[in-house]
Amino acid sequence: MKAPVDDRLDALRGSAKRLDYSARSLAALENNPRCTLRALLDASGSDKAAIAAHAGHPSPFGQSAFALARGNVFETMVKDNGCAELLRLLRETLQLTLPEVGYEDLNDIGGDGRAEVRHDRTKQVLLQAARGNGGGTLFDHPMLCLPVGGHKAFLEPDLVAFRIGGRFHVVEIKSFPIIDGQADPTQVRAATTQACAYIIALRNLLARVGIDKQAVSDTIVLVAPKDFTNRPTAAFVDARKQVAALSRQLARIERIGDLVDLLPEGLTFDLGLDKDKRARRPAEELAEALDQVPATYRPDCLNHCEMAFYCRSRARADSSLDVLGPAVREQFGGIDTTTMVLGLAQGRLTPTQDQVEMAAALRHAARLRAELNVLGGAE
Amino acid sequence: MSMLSALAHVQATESMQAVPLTAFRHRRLSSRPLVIIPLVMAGEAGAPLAAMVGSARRKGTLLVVAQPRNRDQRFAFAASLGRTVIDYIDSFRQGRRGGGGHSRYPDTPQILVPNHGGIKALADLGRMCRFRSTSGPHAVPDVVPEFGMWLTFLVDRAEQAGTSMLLPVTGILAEHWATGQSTLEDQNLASLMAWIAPPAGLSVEQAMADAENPDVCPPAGPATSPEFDNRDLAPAIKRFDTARTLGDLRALAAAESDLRELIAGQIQPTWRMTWEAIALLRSVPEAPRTIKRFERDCAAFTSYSDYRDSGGLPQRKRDTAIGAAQRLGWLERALAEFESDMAFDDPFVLADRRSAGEAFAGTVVEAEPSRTVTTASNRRVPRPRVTIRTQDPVRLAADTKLLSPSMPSGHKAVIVSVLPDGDATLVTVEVTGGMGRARVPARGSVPVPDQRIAYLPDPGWRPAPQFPGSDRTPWTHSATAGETGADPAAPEDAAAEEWGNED
Amino acid sequence: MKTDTDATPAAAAAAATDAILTDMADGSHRALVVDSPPGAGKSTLVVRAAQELTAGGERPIIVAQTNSQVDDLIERLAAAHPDTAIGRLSATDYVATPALGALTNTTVGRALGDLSGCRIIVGTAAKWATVRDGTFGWAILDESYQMRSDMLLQVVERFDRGLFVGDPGQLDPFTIVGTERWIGLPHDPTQNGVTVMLEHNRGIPVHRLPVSWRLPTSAAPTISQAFYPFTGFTAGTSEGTRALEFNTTAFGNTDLDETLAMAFATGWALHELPRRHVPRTDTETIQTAANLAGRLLDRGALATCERHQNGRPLGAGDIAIGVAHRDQADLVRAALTRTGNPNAPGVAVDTANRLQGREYEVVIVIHPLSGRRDATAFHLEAGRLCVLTSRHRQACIVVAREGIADLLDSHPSTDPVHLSVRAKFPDGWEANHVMLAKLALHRVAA
Ligand code: SF4
Repeated sequence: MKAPVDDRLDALRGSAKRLDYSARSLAALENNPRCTLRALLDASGSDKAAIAAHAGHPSPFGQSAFALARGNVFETMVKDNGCAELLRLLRETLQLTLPEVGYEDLNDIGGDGRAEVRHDRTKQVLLQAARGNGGGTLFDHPMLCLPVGGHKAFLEPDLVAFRIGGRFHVVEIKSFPIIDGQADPTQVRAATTQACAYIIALRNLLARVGIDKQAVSDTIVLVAPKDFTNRPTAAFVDARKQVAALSRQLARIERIGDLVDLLPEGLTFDLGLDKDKRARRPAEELAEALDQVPATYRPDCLNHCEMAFYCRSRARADSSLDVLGPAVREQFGGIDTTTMVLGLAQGRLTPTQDQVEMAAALRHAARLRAELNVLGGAE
Repeated sequence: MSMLSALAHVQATESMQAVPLTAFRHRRLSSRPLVIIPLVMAGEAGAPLAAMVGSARRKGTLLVVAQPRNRDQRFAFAASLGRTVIDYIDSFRQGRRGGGGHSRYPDTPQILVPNHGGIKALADLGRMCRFRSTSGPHAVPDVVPEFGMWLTFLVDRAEQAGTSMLLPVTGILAEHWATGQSTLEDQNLASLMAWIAPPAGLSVEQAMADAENPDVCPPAGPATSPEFDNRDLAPAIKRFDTARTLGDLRALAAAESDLRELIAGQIQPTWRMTWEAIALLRSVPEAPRTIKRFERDCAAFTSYSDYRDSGGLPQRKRDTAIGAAQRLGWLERALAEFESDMAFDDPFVLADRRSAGEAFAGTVVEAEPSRTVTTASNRRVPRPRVTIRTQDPVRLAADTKLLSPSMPSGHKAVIVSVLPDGDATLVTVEVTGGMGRARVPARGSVPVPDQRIAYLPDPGWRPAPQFPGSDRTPWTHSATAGETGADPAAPEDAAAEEWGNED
Repeated sequence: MKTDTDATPAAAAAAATDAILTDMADGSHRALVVDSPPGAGKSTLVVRAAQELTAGGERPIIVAQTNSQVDDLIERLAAAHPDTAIGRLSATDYVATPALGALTNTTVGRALGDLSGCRIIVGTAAKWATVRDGTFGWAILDESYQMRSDMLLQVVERFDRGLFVGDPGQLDPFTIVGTERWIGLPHDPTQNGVTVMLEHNRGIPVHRLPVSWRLPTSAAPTISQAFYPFTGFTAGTSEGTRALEFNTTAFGNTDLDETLAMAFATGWALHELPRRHVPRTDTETIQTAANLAGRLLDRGALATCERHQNGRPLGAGDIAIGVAHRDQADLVRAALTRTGNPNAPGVAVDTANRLQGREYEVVIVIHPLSGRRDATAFHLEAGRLCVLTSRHRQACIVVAREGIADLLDSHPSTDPVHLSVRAKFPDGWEANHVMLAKLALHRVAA
């Protein structure tokens, strides 16, 4: 069963190197689960940014070097001297009693930074700790591994702390500020969803040796700059709902075969890379291939999906109401296009049985607006 | 969103131009607003990078922090922006009218920022500045905390519906115009303006594409585009730092003017566009009841001015139990009133409510103008009844109290019955107020047959909730009695609180 | 075996009540919280507690949330304690219901001064908020999970100790104002009063009524699992105590009859209309809900229960139709007049918000997610579905368009996440999922 689906996914991606799921891309699963195009691009490990760019709609995302630099500096500062700052926070700010304090750097193992090697070492020390005979309390950059849709996704949390209340806790270090106890909810959400991937991976690791999932807490410790200083503070984030939600999305990936089955034979998003990694496939041909897969565009895609500009232009070309967003869309029930809305509102189109009611409401609304425009807005 | 507004967005999409959502502008526009375009540095905790500020299009001042991570430079920036803003605010603290405790300034300052992010940036700046100490090892100029407190006042006030002392231009534009794009894209000033008034010679499509191209239309802030950061800003800041480290004054001056030029290139397009938007908004007539809300702004401005004059403490970091409950009450009442005011003033907004069945308009088909009733105190009073035939899908129930924008002010009525009549509805109302004191209703105070009339629900008067005194927080809302002075107005580490990394 | 199941719920409920009254008498607690799942005898407890307090020499006050709750409580109090003078603190425009007007031991007053002779004074929170002085030893706060923290702040000075009674599974209070400034504060004024009070007072005993006397055995386990996953409760009646029977046989054999038969036989039915995206005012959905009520009345039904062991004919007043939005309620009312059954307009129609605390024999629900493209937080809210599906003593019929399962499956979870704020459970998605899985077993395709 598995093989044909995988083959088809590989064919979709074509000659490009497979991009594995990361914590970030797993977290993004929650944003638009309804979208077939995105599900296929992700499952096949395709490079969405490259595809969007080649199709003439380069992705709107970039990251400022300032943000990156700041993030790194901050993380280093928190972890300096065997995580001295972090321990202070856990004890003082979060009022935790930490019996033993050890620090284990899992960034590279004897100079070997390969994921597999680091993962083996991580597994070894974490299992030891879970069984109660490991020395470490804080594990710096452990390398976790989660099978997603039959592929390994390597995930690297900033830090895993052991024995806060006898359980593993994922610690996320972020450089957005916590001002008077509050932080930007969108950023907190992104950090939380990523941390959920770590929690699930960690639970998965322990489950393989029969350790209950309760050994990993679903409360995250978020460490971030306090107010306008560069000193860190910490807060708990209750991630129970997000863990459940992400688990559901991971389960959906396993059903990717259902979507693959619906694809036309021979469909591929291959860019036709030459030996200099330049895309040689004609852009129109790529766009044609993309057009064959249903996408459910929502304006929110602009915040999280590399394909957003492409999908928006496609939705515009179709006169789809999706362009206007769910609040507008909701008003029109089963009607899909702006052309249909206006056709019914102006009485130019005859409503089907299903549309009779909507058509009447639209005509009332159109009449009201016409009345107003006659008034010219000056009554 | 109502179907009517949704339809407006569809019409905009089809006609490829913005269409009006309202007949009026429901926000006051000052004759002398102060525009501020704040920019912040990516990744830093609300660290200012630059601001352009001024009360006329030709009088914009650009302020730049050459090294946003440097604390002293940030404070120098806060102080100079602060001085401009405080001078502007002070210019409204004159010509006080009225006597005694009720005297007020006749006008208020109005700060306009390009978008909601601009308000957030000012909120952060206010929070950063208001607790600063003006003495001791980390002393800042006097104007810094003063500026912080005023900003916080303005940001807090902006949360209240219908106020106009601090507004995002995108917000006012989107209140009046529907575009063929989503709310998310409407938050981008350039995208919004592309629909309303595309630059001369450009189609809406071209203008929209330009609006999302950071090289043509730099973002209106507060964040700069990552491309700009990486390509231009980072090297420029680096040159500045190097020159400073080497103590090379000429290189330093050159680096600084380079930076200013770069940032000016990013900020000026937004500056110009903001003023264009303001000019456009001026052409929309102001709604009649805006003045009533403006008077409340005057009162709030006056009382905060007096509080500042009396050396009042900075606003707390977070609301206390009683402060929060009080504020929630204000916010709820302001919102209900603003919504009702808009529907009363504006036939478009009224139509929105009509399409949802929350208001109605129609023709008087029957009137009983001389009907009277005897009150409990045995007085005969006029209570005329009028029946209106409407095509609107009325959903209001009997006993709903009503106001009418089509009748002289003071007119009040209550619904007696709502009955279907073919595909229309007959609403019978009893007129209860606005008829004068005589036994016979004053002329024109009762609707007559064939008159077109609209009614909407009266939000009514609600007494302000009464809470315990702020020094008497009850046991349900305060932790273990005896704990003293939770959340002092100023944090202990106020003076030492640093801004970001010192490299 | 049978005696066991019969005795256990009553005994468990009695034990819970005893524990509550003991804690109350003990006097060492400033407050007591009683969590009461749907139909667990909350009002009975309030009446009982008032009696105990009065007997102990107290002059308790009762704070309820709506006028009809106040009237309801007064009727119960007056019936249980005919010798106790009861006061109803009311606004000037309050008109006593006929039932209340007939009570001899009840006084209606506009101000506390009018009620000086009363041993128990009952009023809405809004009315109590206008009282500026006087302090009582105890207050019983009914439906306190529906009272916003800022309202509690306005009435709290009127009493020293509080018994907070309510159902944590119902709808949370809300505000039209969108601001994040109070999130994470222990005294967030938009939270319910109970949560805020508990945040500030450690060691307050929280009791729980363990038995629902309203929900039949067919409903209690599902509602408990979906909406009270951590605490749970059981049905007070045993299998077979409640039953519905038709007076007539089906004459048309329509899908309406099939749905009614399913509901009568199993206590649940999902009347599923063809898949379609529709606005919430969709006539077909709304008329179907009304027609189900009309059809039930046309055919006539006999309801058997512990109170009416020989059966009692169902009238329009025993049926409610629950919806999510006010405009839907208006449309259902209009639709009822079109059913052709002259009694149909007597069926109660209301939104979840207004159905809180009410009870019917049969409840017909228009599913909040029916026909929708997207699930918003409003439509997914667990409390909303909980109120709608837990008002019935006999049967609950849900009307929905096919497609809710897919809607849930592909629901994007994009709610903001906040620091140091405990996630609210039950989760709307999970609760909806549990309910839908249950309803799928009772599905009738229309
Ligand atoms: S942008 Fe396109 S591919 Fe990405 S989630 Fe949205 S609709 Fe799907």
